[in-house]
Amino acid sequence: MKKTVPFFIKGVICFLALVFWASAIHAANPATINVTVTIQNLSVSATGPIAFGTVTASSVTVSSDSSHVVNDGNVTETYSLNLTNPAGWTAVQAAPASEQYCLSAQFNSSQPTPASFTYANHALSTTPTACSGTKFAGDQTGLSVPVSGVRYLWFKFEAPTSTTVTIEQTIVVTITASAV
Amino acid sequence: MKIGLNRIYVIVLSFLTFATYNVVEAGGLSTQLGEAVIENLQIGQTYNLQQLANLRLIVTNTSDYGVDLKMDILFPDSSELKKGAEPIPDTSWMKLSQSLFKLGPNEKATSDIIISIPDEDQYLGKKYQVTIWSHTLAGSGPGMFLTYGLKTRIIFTTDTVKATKNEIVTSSDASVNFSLKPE
Repeated sequence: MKKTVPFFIKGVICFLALVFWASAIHAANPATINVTVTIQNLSVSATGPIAFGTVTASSVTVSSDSSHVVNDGNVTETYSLNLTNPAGWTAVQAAPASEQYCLSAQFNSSQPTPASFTYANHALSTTPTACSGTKFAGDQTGLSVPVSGVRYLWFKFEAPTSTTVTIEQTIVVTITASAV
Repeated sequence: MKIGLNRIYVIVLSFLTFATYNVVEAGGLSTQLGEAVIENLQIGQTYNLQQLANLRLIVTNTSDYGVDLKMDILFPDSSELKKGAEPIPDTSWMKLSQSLFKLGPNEKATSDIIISIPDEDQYLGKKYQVTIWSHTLAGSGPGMFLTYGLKTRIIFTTDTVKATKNEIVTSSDASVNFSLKPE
């Protein structure tokens, strides 16, 4: 009897050790790689270009035409906007100085007034900035645009106070769509 | 009164080919890859998603004119983070087999997506997000003023356990799920 009890205890201990070891091995096994791809038609189109014509130094001009931006995919999209500087000019998000300009964008159903653009919400920069309820918003937004949704994108250009550039300039605006 | 050119600056602001033609063009891009989620990648490994899950980035020029297309790897903006992911620590972890393309109307750009994760334990059990920005370049067609872009989200997790050499999976053994949107 005396020898049986210690032997039993040793057996239980060995059994528990074996269970723990097996559990540790199971936990250490690497997991299966899973790949989940969301198949959707992410697509955007827009009309352009937008011509401002001849402007003078320090002038402020709202485009007479808008770009028609269409979600022609099959998912709700949010747009981001950014610009690319032309040679010799730098975009600012404030009143421009020499060799600086400010290009602002606003989604609106009709031509907005100059005063409806604000630097905080509408001035474009070289960094893609996502639309929101206020960013680039007028009475329309580029936020969560439904399938087939059409948005009218207007621009306000604030010219440099002075410049040595006298040739035509092209400022490129990029409209980027992301699935919501 | 003579007005000197150093006092009045006339800026002609227009958009090149359309200054005189005044033609309205519609251009755009499309892709079927809005988001991909890859789970349980191993640290210290490199994965080509084409080999792993037959997954490549394909972008179509839906414009009526030719464009130059570029694909860039970007940190996601904080407002773009999904599914509890954090921005990828370093965009150099991701590479594309090709990132510059010249596309005719309705032509497609195709690129493999390669993810390499450093062999450091600090990256075990993480979830990261990275953005691929596919966008047309200026000066690549009559619609020079407006260019177009699409953002593809790649979200991936790393395993909590470091696998041994024999346990590494890089191709064909992965479980692949596809979901369609709209559902």
